[in-house]
Amino acid sequence: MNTDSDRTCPGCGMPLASHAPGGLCPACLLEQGLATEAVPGGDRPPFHPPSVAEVAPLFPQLELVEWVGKGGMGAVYKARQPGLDRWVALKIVPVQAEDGAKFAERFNREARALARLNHPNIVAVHEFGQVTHPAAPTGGAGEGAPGGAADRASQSSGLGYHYFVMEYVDGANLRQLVRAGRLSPREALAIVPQVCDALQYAHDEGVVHRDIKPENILVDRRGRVKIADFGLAKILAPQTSEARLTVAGQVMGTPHYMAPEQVERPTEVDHRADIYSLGVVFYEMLTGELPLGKFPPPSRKVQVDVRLDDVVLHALEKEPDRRYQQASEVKSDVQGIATSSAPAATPPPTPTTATGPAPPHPGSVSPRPGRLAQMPSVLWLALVTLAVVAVWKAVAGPQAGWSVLAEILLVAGLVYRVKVAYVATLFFAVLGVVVTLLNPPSWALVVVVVLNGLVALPVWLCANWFFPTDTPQGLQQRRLAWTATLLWLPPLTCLWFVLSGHEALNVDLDADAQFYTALLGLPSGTGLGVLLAWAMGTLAADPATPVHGEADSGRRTPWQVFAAWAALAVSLPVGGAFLILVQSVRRDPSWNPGTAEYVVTLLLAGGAILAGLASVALGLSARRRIRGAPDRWGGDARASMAVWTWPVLLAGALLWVPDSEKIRAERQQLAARLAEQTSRTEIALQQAALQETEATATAVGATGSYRISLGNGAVLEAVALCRDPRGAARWFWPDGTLCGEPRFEILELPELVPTRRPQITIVPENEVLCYVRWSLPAGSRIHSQQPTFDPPPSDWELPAKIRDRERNLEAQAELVCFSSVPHTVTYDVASSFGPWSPVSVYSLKTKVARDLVPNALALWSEPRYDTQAGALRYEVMHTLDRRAYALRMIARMADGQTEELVFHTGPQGGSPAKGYALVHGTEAATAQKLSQVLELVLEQTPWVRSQIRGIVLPPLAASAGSSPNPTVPTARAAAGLVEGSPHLRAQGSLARNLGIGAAVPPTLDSPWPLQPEELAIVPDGPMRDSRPWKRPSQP
Amino acid sequence: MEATQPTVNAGSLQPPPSPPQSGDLFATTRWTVVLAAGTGTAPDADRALDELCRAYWYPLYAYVRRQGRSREDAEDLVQGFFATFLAKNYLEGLSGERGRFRAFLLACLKHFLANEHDRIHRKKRGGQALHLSLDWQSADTRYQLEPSHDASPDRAYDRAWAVALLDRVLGRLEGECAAEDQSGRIQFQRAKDFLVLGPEAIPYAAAAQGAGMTEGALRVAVHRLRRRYRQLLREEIAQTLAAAQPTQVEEEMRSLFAAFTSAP
Repeated sequence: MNTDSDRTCPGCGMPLASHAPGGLCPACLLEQGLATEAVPGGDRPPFHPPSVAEVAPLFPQLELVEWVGKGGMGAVYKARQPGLDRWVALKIVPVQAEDGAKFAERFNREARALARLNHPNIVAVHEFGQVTHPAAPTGGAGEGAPGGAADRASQSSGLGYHYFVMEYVDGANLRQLVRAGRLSPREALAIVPQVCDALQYAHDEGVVHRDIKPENILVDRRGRVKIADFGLAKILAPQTSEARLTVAGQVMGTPHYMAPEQVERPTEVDHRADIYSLGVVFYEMLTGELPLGKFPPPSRKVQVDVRLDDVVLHALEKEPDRRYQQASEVKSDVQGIATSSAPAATPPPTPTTATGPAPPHPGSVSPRPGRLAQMPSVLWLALVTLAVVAVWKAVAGPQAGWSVLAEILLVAGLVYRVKVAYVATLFFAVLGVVVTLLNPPSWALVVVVVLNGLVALPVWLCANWFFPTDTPQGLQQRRLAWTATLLWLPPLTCLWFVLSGHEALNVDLDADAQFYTALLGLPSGTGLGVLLAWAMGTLAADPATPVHGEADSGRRTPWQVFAAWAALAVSLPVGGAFLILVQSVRRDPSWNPGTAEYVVTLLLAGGAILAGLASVALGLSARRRIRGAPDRWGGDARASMAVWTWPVLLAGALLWVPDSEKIRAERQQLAARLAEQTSRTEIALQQAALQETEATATAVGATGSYRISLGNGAVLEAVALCRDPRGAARWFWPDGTLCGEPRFEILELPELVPTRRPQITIVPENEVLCYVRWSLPAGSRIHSQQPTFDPPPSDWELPAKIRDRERNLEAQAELVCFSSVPHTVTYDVASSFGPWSPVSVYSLKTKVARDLVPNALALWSEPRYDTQAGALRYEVMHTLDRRAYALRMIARMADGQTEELVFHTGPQGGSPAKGYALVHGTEAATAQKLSQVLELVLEQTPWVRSQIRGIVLPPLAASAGSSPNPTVPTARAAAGLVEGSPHLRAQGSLARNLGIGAAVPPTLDSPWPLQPEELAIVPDGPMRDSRPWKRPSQP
Repeated sequence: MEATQPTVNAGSLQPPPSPPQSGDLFATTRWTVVLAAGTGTAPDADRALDELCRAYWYPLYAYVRRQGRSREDAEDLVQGFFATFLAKNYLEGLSGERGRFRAFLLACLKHFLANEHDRIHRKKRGGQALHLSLDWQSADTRYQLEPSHDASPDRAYDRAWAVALLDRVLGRLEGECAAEDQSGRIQFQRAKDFLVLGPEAIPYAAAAQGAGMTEGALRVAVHRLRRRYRQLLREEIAQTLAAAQPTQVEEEMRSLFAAFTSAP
């Protein structure tokens, strides 16, 4: 036992244990014991191929060109036979020391048998033999004799080579092809029959390959399969029949291709071992993996025909008796499957040295039935979706149906592969219906968007349901489907909301908001969706589409397909924005050419048209370039979709066009109605003017009576008049008699505004203060117009405040100014006492007006903010007779209250049929107020006109002149006559009237009282009433 | 041309120097012989078992010592275990482990240790059971000198087993080389160092000069030695297996290799 602990193992560098087996590191010993050097077919040392220069002298009959590769046991060189002017492959295997003369003899015998194999799928052997290495250190004189018969064996190792001159196969072996990923199952199915042919032929000739593996199967540039190294495993093995494996089971090379009996019972191996090896190779070609342990059948690993499973498994049977017994049986089975599933079998791949793109996904020989790929199920789903769409259309209006339909049309192309997008649309439609039926408030938009996120969860599950995971592309499709759904749903929500959802959700969205929301929602949704659909289609399908007519047989999708899809991706959002803009502005009657929106719309329309045409044209061009590809998604279907998307969308738009036409017709109808109603209003007003006195209720006071009692208990009374209110302020009763007591007091007189009407001469003496009073019963309200006088005074009537001492109240009197004071006036006032009856109701929510009175024909305008007036303006045009009816507008609020608005019936000089109310305030404040208004109501109540006729305006006494003795009033004073007043013209009858006769005729200086009727007073000014002034009978 | 029948032999390998007794491949392992014999007595079964135990008793000792027992206790226990084991009392039970002798032996030992205190009382040392004369002294010394990895007893057992196995293999290899050639033993001594190296790492050129051979000849010689080593290794492992499938041999080799590489 060594106690030397300083030693380390040269292999692994770890310190050696004290007791190390043979002084060596046990770990490294075991490791090397595990390693097997792949020396197929023989227990020969690893061979280091000599260079061309070393080998060429040995073969003077050949022109060696280059070393091609290691052939396992030996080296292979490319050479030329100048005599025959053909390329050959020279394979040399070094001679081993234990190879005796018997070996050489057996070698030649076997090789001769091989050389007799003549089959297009077997690499032909032209020559074989041995050569001696010229630089042999231990004897061995003589050159190696070429040709077939010389069999001088060399004595020591490294002294010579066995050689074969074989057919040169310009191509690659199957291992290289599988590793480069240039093998599809279809091509594998084309290779296998050729291998079977070769095997069958060889087996018939009694030769078993025993070493079938991908390295030994060559494919030349023309696609022909050639099997190499036939039987060489046996030839170059030094042992023959009694050899068997040791209990240690040491196997030369990788045993994976060897049949079980080759490993376990090598004495009982026959041609069926080759069939097993073929099965292993076949499996490896299809799946890329070896069938080790419990391996899954090929159809479970890749998309291949299920029937191939049986063929492969049958070839891989452990018991030779249970296997295919003949290679030809394998061939017929494989060919049967190949022809029944693919109409045209493609030739094996041309093994170019170019490294191609990413390994293509194994194409389908026949489509693997997906879990829900049966057509009836898809049709059923389509029917359900259409039914949902129809229901929603009926409920939420035509726009909702169109938008959903447009979405489905857009997504229809994805149905081909990405069924999850279909399911997403279905969920979307169902969600929209639910939301519409529930009719929630506007914050539900947030809820909808959140719910869309939750929709992703079942969509996720559906993606799992639709896509298998045991294929790499299935996984990829699934991931892309999830991504597409998550990216697609929020913009779709936006789009739906803009197009129809805001109505369903009772959210007001004006044209601008619609426009910009749509512009934001559409590009992200549509563009993303389209691009993702394309990406999914690209990745899901075989990207290598054979394109005929290309110089190098590289499989590429033509650029036209990409360009068509780019144009499509651009055109769809642009076109959608255009449609949205048109839809939003059509509601605004003020939209007209010249606005910025108009220009933008034109640009969008132009852009969409150009891009759409481009996508169609490019798609057609791409389709023309791709010929021969069957209905595969890869090239042709993508091009087709680029071609057909816009025509389909335009067809869908035809569903929408009738809507727009209908709306245009509605607009026109509305305008005509408006014009008609305007003219009708004018007519009505004219008629009202003509029938004024008859149509209106007028209460006329009896002659001599200065009070009117109305039916409802209201009393209108002309109480008193005041002449010269700013001066003498003499009060008179309406019958013209002087009001002696100081019963009335003037509190407030309005200021004169002389410059208001410069042409009017304000004559203070011509001012009259009229005190007319309403007495109303308790609880009634009066709504009066401005009173009118007949004859009309000057242009202004102003209110004045007086005090009625007897009734002890303050009252309002009208100050009027006559240019020339008439003798009598008529006082005319229109009043209304209610009740108000509604004429027309306009709902601000539904934008619908209801006329409650026939022929009322009220046309409401949408409330809008008048920036000039600084107020919110309600406007209505009506055909009501303003003179006959009092009108008012009230606003009914959401909380049930009503608010009376100040209603103006027509601007001065404007149409009398237009009434408006102003709600003053800032835009925001009024908007806030407006939001609480449910409806506007136009109400009317008939005017009651009251006329008091014959109110006397007594002449004014001149202020100048001495005033008589106030204590003893003289007639003159009583009469208020002013000396020298031009208004006074004593008539002859005056004396008579004064009682002058018998005694002393009365004079003006006679004491009072004089009877005024005895005086004949000529009123001043022109007289309307030429009747002599008569004293009215005393009440 | 001969061999026109479909059955063609595959020949590729050297037969082992000691040809197996029977024609059937799989019944030639010692362990298989022991198992086949069952509890019945068969002389070759006894012999086979004896031989197996002689080869692999140290790992048991290492295991028991690794458990923390003293030298005397370990000696007692291993001796006692073999006394019982060689009486074949264990061969009925523990059927799951029968494929591999190594695992079987350890399982039996564990089973034995679990009931040790009964055993100690029941069986006397050096009783009527078979007595294996084992070299306890060197065993203890050897155990003491081993680097103290903090390996679990199982790990220590496996390692010791592997070392015992490799010892046997190298011993046989050396014996073969010596029998072949006069200078065979010397050649073996030179070449055996290459057994731990990979084929690329072997410095053929330098070694050839030192040995006075051509490089090519040295390559061939080394290659043959390595090949023979592998054969013997597999054979030795197979002797402890019930069914010597190539995959099982590899598996056993991997387990032994793992005893050195993986964490305890």
